Amino acid sequence: MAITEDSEIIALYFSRDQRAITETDTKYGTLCRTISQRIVCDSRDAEECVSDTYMRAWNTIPPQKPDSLGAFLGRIVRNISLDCFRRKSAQKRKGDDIPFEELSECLPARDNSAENALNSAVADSLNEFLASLPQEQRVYFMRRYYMGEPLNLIAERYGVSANKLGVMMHRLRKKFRQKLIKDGVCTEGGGIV
Amino acid sequence: MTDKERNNGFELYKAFSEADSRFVDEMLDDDLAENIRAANKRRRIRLYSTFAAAAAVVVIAVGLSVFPRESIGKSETAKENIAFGENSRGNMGAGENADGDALYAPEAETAEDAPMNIAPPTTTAAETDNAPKTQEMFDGEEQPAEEKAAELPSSAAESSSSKDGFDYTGKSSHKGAAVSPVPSDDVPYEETPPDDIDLPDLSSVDDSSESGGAEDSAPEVDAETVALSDNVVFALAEEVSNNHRGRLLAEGDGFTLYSFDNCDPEAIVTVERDGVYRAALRVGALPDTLEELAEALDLKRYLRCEGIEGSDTRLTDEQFRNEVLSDLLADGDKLTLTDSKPAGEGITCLCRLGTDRETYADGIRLTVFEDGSVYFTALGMSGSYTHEE
Repeated sequence: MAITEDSEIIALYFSRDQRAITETDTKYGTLCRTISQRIVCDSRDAEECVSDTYMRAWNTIPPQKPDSLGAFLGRIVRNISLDCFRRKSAQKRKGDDIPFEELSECLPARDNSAENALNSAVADSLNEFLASLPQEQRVYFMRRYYMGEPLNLIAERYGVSANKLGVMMHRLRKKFRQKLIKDGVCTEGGGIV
Repeated sequence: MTDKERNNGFELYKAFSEADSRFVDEMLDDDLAENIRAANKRRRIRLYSTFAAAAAVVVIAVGLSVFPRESIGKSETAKENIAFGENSRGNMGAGENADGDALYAPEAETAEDAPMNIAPPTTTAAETDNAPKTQEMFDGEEQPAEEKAAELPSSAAESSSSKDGFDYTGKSSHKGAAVSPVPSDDVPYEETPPDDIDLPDLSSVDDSSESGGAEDSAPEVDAETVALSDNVVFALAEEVSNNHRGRLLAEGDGFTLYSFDNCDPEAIVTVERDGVYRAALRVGALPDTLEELAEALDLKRYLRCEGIEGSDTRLTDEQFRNEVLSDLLADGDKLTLTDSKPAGEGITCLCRLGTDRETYADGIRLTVFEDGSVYFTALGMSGSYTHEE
């Protein structure tokens, strides 16, 4: 019988029971594969990323004890998948539906020397921005830019038109950019501080 | 590193990995998704209902406030001559191809000779092109009732299409014969006046064609009125279907006052007398211009939209559909833009809203102005508002 509670799965990790991986895959496998697939655009690479995610989770729990296993795994699989994407040539990607380009308007391009400028300040700004949004808009925004979900799927899930979502995303990105400027993460002209 | 990776959008996208876990949980929550879905559905239904009611109110108010004053005269007989046709009683308007600009038909019109049609628009093409902001856009050159009657049955569509530049012939779903007013028994309303109504007590009803029970300070009234004790006067308008009857407001001697749909009872009410329902407009509360009228009726939020400010702004059809209508109506997919053209200071669009069961407006013409205001006119009210989820 499948375990449904995060706490029970985490308990399996703590007891070093290998069923932890199985139960994790049962509950969060689809989520992880979806996130990874949307980033790497290759099912084999995605499967590899998901396996690496489970491995990393196995190695980090304990000592870590996440409050939300879904968010914990999501963060790992995103990072691994984005690293995988970075390793692969962008030219080989078949799908271009990852919404990097959309977000670039919030924080214009910069040179390599500032690569490490993406620090906790950005994450803080992001979390503050998310917290300031109405719940409904926040959920849409997260589905789009955390999950990388296409607008039509978000629209279908929440019963709203894709057109409206498109307009809303445009406005939210503008607001997000203003937030980043206000927080000093980037300047009005586009450069990172 | 590729250009795409160097793009900061990539890094921001990566930064979402650091999003707070509660936001991630929220995003994955299926129950929350179901709640949002249900809320969106309710919101959509409410907007459609309100929009349809607003369109009906505008049609009534424009018809009442514009035409009788300038072209019909002040006598009761004259007023009766320009009332809605018998068949529009239950339907709040006219049928296919009728234009919201011209709402009047001779009383002689019957179910046989012109079931739902009304007089063709008297607005000229030039007037439409200029899209004036005030009632001028609805107020064409006057025409004798006999002439209107002569033009009625078959030429209405052609006349309407040619005069305002739109082709209405594609709209075939709303037929006059298909109209079936909602039975009053289906509408659950309160049967006793609620305690929290602010309206003052009714003191008198004046059926004369003069200013009725209004005091000297009350505005001059040309039609039948219902006067309230505090000089609040409602001018009785045309008959309406009782499915536009809202909540019970007050009971008087031989008549009952209800709100009109979901509208502000300070501006428009429904009066029932001898089983006949008539719309009644608050005298003095309904200004001459449509914009002020919309404000008076608290419709401004439905007439305003963002994103089109700026003196040089001109929207393409696609932009209009995506950026204006989706905001205006929450679900732009349901609204079909059938035509649009520049009109004076803005753009005039002819639209169909929803399906037959979602609105009783055959079509809606919106004129969007550079200041962000949108004027709409209901076209060819089909009458049978029988929403089903």
